[in-house]
Amino acid sequence: MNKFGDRCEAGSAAVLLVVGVAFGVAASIAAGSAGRIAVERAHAETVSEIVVAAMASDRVSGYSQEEAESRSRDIALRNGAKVLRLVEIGERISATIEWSGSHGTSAAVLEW
Amino acid sequence: MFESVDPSPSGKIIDEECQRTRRNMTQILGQTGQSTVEFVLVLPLVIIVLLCTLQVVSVVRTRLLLEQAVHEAARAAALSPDQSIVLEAARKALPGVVLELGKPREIGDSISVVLRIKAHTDIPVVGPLLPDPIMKARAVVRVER
Repeated sequence: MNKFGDRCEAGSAAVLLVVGVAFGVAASIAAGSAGRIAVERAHAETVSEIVVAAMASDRVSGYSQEEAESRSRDIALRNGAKVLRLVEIGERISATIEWSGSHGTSAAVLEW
Repeated sequence: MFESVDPSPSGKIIDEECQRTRRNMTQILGQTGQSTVEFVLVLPLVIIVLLCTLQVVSVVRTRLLLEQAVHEAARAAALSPDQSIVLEAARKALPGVVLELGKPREIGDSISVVLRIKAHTDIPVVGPLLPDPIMKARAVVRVER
């Protein structure tokens, strides 16, 4: 076996170890990152639904549109989210919130 | 007694070639199985790294289920003052979750729903070596009924 072959042979374990560990670490980081994004999106969806439900509930309870909107923004703040868009058109309410960089949008139809 | 059969220059070259070949053969025979031994030594480490990755995925999955559970619990808390109904809704999404519900209030007030769970690290080999992370999710909802 020539010298080049010897060096390749001796380095095979190190190469396997480096490739295996690099692959494992990369997969762990990718899984963690994807999971974090998925959790943020899921929570954003939850909060947007809470906001729209709160506004719908307030409107049905007799609050004016401005009061209901203000109270809904307060609910979003208490969930650590920021309301980007909250509109009531006819009998339809739509809300878009931002939580930790993720956006969530929900809509509801008022039943008077 | 035995001298070189062929004392000519070409015979000397053949002798040297034979000696070199013998040396190389010794080296080759001495390294037989080296790759296998190295592979066997490294394989457990690679498997442990892959098991750690699986453990991370398992914890992330629990975190996602907790988010779904707090969603369900928040909706239940908005519609019912009964804590058992809220807990049941949460545990449908994620069994074993612990509920902390804010004080019952009037319709139109806000109520806080907090869920906690200890994510068991149960992947073989690496699971017992890692601590069980305690995860928490919280939502504040308007009481509708």
